Amino acid sequence: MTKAEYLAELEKRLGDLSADERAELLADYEAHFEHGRASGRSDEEIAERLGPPQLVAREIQYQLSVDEARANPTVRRIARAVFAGVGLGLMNVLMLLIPFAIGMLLLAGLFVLAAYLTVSPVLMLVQDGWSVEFLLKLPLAAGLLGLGLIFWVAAVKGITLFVKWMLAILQSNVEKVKEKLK
Amino acid sequence: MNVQFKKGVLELCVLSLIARRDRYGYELVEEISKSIEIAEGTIYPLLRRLTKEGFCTTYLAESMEGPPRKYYRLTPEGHEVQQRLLREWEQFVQGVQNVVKGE
Repeated sequence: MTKAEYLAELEKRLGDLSADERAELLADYEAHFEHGRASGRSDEEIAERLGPPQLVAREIQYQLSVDEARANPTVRRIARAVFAGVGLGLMNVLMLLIPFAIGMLLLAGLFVLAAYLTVSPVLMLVQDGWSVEFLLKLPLAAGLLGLGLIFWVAAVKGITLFVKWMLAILQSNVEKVKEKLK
Repeated sequence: MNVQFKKGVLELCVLSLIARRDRYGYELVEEISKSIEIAEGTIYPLLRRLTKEGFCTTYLAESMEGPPRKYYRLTPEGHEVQQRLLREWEQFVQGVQNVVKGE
């Protein structure tokens, strides 16, 4: 792989980065090739020692995704960082995916339940029509509605907890080496 | 070797080299590659992170041969981190020694 090929491949895979950041990193690798050439190495050899551009790009993407998730933790950003880490072989897939999947399922379940409870009075009205039966069920409907609202609050709180939890797992992975050295 | 473990050690190596004197990227890569087998391309993202976290700063310097060099200089905070990582590393090695030799 020549210098031009290597840099082109790397650039192609760094599409997520801001233009500035991409340019800066590419300049680093370009300079690396130039230094290597100056010390008598062939492009092939320099590329070989750098490692495949795919690997280098994944490394960069991972770091970027962790930075982003830390700066502004949203479920989407955390998910991206988690998958970037898994792709790098940095994290145990199951260790991350199991909490992630369980958390997502629980949250989804909570929201569905909350939605169902909240609209249940309307469903009763549709079922029974504006009748005595419906009026008799009114206390029940009010109870369900109240329960539904409580579930909504729980689900929204759940998101915050989930985000914190996933961030903690991510963080612990990033910091794991340091812990291991202790 | 465990990928994560290697990453942490790499950080200590890079910080220690810059702690002795300012270094440019290629020089760092060469120096580390002499002793440890790494994918050299992973040093640059690491340097970028260390700079972002404020452990080192960069400046450009022309050189007689080859392209301009981007030098890395350790900040006081970087020195602290290097010292901490070094202590942790030494404790770790000592611990392993104790276990392995059964002392």
